[in-house]
Amino acid sequence: MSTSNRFKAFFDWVDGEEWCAKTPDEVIARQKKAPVRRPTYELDSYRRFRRLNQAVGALFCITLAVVLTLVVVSFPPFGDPANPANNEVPARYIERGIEETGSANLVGGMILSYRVFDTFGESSVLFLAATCVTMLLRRDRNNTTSRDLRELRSDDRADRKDKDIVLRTVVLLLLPVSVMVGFYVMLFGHLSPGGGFSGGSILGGGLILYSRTFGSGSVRKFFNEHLYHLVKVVCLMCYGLILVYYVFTGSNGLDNHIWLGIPGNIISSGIIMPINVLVGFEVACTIYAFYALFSEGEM
Amino acid sequence: MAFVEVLLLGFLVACALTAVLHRNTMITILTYMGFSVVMSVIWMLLQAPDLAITEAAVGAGVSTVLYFLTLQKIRELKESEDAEEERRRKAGEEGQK
Amino acid sequence: MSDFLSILWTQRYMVTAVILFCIGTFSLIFNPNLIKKLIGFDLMDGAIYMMLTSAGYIEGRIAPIVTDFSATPSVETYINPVPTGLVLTGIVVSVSVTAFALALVVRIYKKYHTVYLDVIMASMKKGVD
Repeated sequence: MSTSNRFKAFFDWVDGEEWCAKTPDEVIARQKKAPVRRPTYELDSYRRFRRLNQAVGALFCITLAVVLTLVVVSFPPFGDPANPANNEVPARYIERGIEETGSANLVGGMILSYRVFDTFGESSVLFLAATCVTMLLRRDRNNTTSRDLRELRSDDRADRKDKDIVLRTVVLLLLPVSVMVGFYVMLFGHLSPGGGFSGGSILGGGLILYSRTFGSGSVRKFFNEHLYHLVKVVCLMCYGLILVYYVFTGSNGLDNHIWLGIPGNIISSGIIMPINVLVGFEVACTIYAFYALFSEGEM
Repeated sequence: MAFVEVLLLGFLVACALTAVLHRNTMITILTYMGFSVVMSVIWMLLQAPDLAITEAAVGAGVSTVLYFLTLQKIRELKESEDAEEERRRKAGEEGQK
Repeated sequence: MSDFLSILWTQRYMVTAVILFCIGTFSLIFNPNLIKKLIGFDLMDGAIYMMLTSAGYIEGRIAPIVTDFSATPSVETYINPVPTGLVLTGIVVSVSVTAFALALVVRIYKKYHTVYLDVIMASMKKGVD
């Protein structure tokens, strides 16, 4: 490789898109796996159009910014207690939140009892996203050609470990802390900031760290695809059952017999703590599934 | 306090501009991660600690990991394509001989 | 003029949200790189969340987490919890959407070998199916 070529390769690397096909001819050539003919035509007009496009875009966005700023100026002032947003709804949530939900964290109590249907929809969105990503990226015969499958099978990446001693030591120190913080945030969601979703993300992050450093085979020993599907579905279904019971009794004016406990204790707040734990496990599973599907195409 | 607010908000805008205008996708993603971290500090200023925890775990953690994995996956695909192309080219040359 | 500037200073979070929203829109619509389009989408998400949360903030009050259980909590102590709850839901949805869109980007790269939208469109015009 000559010096100028090396420089060109370096600048391509700095530009960051050396892995992209730059022209339609290159796309066709790569699809046919033929040698690339260097093209001369047509994309020049696209590039010129791209520059024009960006000029128009900047103008458009500046106009949008001016209009929106003029709108924002006429909004109610920032931090004023008399804002229309601070009406009787948040007053009710704050004043009667503890006696009705038993949760010291009023935000967590609100989204998991008064607005639990909304939050169930959010969990369903996460479930759907995990399903769609599985459909798109799973390594099976619909998504990969036989050649890719052969190549992927040949270098079995389950055993790929990082040999770096610094990374391994740091991860071994960090992993217990991250798992502990994840469980803490999940279990104390009704007493302190946090809740099922953030705790689950921290747990999932810990799993990702472990899998990245010690190879996904070591995670598969205690967390395989079967367990993943089981946890995901069972958590969402338990959540749905709790929700149905809570909403049914509430809307029919029945007593729901849910023991609220003493506010401030760990075991208190009725349905909020179980739901936090269920959501946390589901989110941790989903996030590890995202990682596994993106990096290897299977759990 | 006002000084800190201005500093943080200015950093947000600077991060957003860099992320959008820089040509290297890797730097875009790293800047977006910085954006998320500063955003979680701003949630603390706005008295929303729930959001701060969630943003730090999700925005700076999970979505950055997903973006990086996408880049890595694309790069691996490109490398396997290149290897295949090289193999075919060599086979073709030998066939011509 | 100084009146306008003082209003802008009072609404500093909303003005920043507007700027971030416009930067995100610029990237989402006018950047040909699909990954940067997604980054722009996430910036727009962040801007909307910031606007909602700043609408619920009240000067001099604290986050709605009760520590004193002896008395009924008074409205004058805590900020508005409703926007925080809404945004908490929104962050989850935005990360789901990001993951799904990135999976789509990987599939597009498998088919067209590029993430540039203009190259993809030019290839489609040349008859690449």
